[in-house]
Amino acid sequence: MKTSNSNTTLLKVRALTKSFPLATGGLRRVMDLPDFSMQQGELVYLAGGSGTGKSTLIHLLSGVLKADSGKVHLLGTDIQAMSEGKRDRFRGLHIGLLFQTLQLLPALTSLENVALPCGLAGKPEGHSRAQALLQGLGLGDRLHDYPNRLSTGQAQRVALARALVNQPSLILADEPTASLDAENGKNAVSLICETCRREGASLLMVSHDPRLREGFDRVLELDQINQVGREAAT
Amino acid sequence: MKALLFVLRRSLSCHKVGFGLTILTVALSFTLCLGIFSLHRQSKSILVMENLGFDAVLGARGSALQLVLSSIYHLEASPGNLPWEIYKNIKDHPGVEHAVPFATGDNYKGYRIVGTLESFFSLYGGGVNFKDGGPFLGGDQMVSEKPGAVLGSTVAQETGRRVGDLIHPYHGLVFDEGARHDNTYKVVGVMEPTNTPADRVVWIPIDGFYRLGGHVLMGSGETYQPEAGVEIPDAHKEVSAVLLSLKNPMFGMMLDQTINRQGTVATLAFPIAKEVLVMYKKMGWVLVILQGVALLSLIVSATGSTAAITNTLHERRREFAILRAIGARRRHLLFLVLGQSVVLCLAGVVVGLGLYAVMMFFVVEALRENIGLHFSIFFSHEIFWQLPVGTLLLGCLAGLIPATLTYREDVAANLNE
Repeated sequence: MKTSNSNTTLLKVRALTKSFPLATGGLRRVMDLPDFSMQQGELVYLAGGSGTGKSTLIHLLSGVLKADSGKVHLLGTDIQAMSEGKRDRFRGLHIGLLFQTLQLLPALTSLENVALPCGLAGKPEGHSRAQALLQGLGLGDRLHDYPNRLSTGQAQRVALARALVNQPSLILADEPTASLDAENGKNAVSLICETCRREGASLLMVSHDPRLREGFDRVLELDQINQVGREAAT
Repeated sequence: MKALLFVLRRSLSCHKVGFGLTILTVALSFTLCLGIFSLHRQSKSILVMENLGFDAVLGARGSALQLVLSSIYHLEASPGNLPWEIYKNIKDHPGVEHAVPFATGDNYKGYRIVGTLESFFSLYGGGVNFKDGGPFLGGDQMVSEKPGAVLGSTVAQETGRRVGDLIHPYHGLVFDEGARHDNTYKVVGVMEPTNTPADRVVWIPIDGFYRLGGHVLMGSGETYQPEAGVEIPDAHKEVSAVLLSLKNPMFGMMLDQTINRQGTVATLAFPIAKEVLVMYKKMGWVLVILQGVALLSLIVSATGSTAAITNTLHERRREFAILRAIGARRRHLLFLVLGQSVVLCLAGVVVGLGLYAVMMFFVVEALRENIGLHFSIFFSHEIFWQLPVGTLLLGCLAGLIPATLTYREDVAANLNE
């Protein structure tokens, strides 16, 4: 378990921009983030409606997407300055991703899905850590079930365990409760927050649902920090 | 690595039908390739028959190759006959160690009957072993009413004849039930397999051959009909070929000069292997083309493997995007896609080796039955490791394109799907 240290900067974003080509020609800028940072162990809720660039931000922060310009410093290292291969490796070791559609591999059991990031990072303790995490999340009896045999809530807990298995410093969650009803969504977010705190991981969750803000250390509106959104609003 | 092996195994089991067909395609091409290469590699050494026990063949003037094919491989008709006198002369030549005459032209149920002397059995292949019984005695002396016959191993096996059985020869080289001779021969010996065309021959005394009903001798130039109980004068006897073992190969060159270049009556095939090698070289380009076609089919099957894997990539792009998102690097994806291709080719090689063994079992049997040459299914040759390793390398190459494409996929876009 990592120790929370809210005085240390974990994530620091500077002048981050991203545009996508339009089918009709030209470019459409979707992200212009001049300044954003998170402290170690901090849980941040980033609210934003559809099309405000929530997923793009998660992809940029995780290094899945290459930014047009700007810096994303995580643990003092600029992810965006890395080569694609190094970004993949860095992400595997230091970032856990929680997706809107959970994205479990259907051909692997719960245990195999959770242990996989450890295997990819070359950590030998993956199996026991995955088992402990799943048991901690109440899935001790579903270790060998395939995703199609799990309820949405159970699948989501498996996805959470997978995101945490490599003991990452940062969990990036992109609408992780989108497929749950309001009550279960709230319970899921509580579980995510509680587990992140227990594991010592920082959490940045983007969502359009204002009812899920409870339990976070900081709540931000994406439109307020993304200059593209601000310009649109003004 | 263990985690990736898991993913690889699962991915293979998820596309059983498509990958099963790919494995079958690779296996069939591999079988074809190995079969052709194997037959090609063996045919040269088997056709040359190095330990024949004879160095040269003397026959009527004509094609030396035809002479070898008729007297050694028992395939072609003899180019003609020579008077007994020539046999006697060559036998007494100072350079000739042994001379064994052959007379051919009849069959027993499709298997050739060759009239020869007892000495053939002690010379052929260093000495023939008998499974049952032994050789007939003499051969050039007047034979009894029921002279002895020796069966080659294939003849005995296929016709079911054993020592003590009586057999009727048939006239001509092609079996015709209506052309049966009245003469009978008693089987006195069955040869152990020699794995040569001799296994497909019925051997009888040459004198007995002359006395088969309807046989007319023209050794003296005049027609002579052998009579029962009357010795045949040497002047009337004829031979189809004479197998020679020489005291020194130098004598072969001398005889070649005398018989082939200066003479006009006979042909000497020396060395025996040379004639076969000439034929082999003439046919060589056909075999090269066949090998080329086989290799091409292997490449086609590898391309099929590329297509099968590339097709699955489309449906697996989300899976690869998830893997990238949770930390899979280029080498991990390369391992997954290349591994898939190599596993398919490896399975193809294993199945192909099994199919090859089954196919060759029948091919070897067919060759043994039809031309008497014994090919092996497996033998010590580099082709048995070169082709499997080559196929696996081809599998690696086949996987390289889809593996490269996989890493170029847009992870973010595929995650959003």
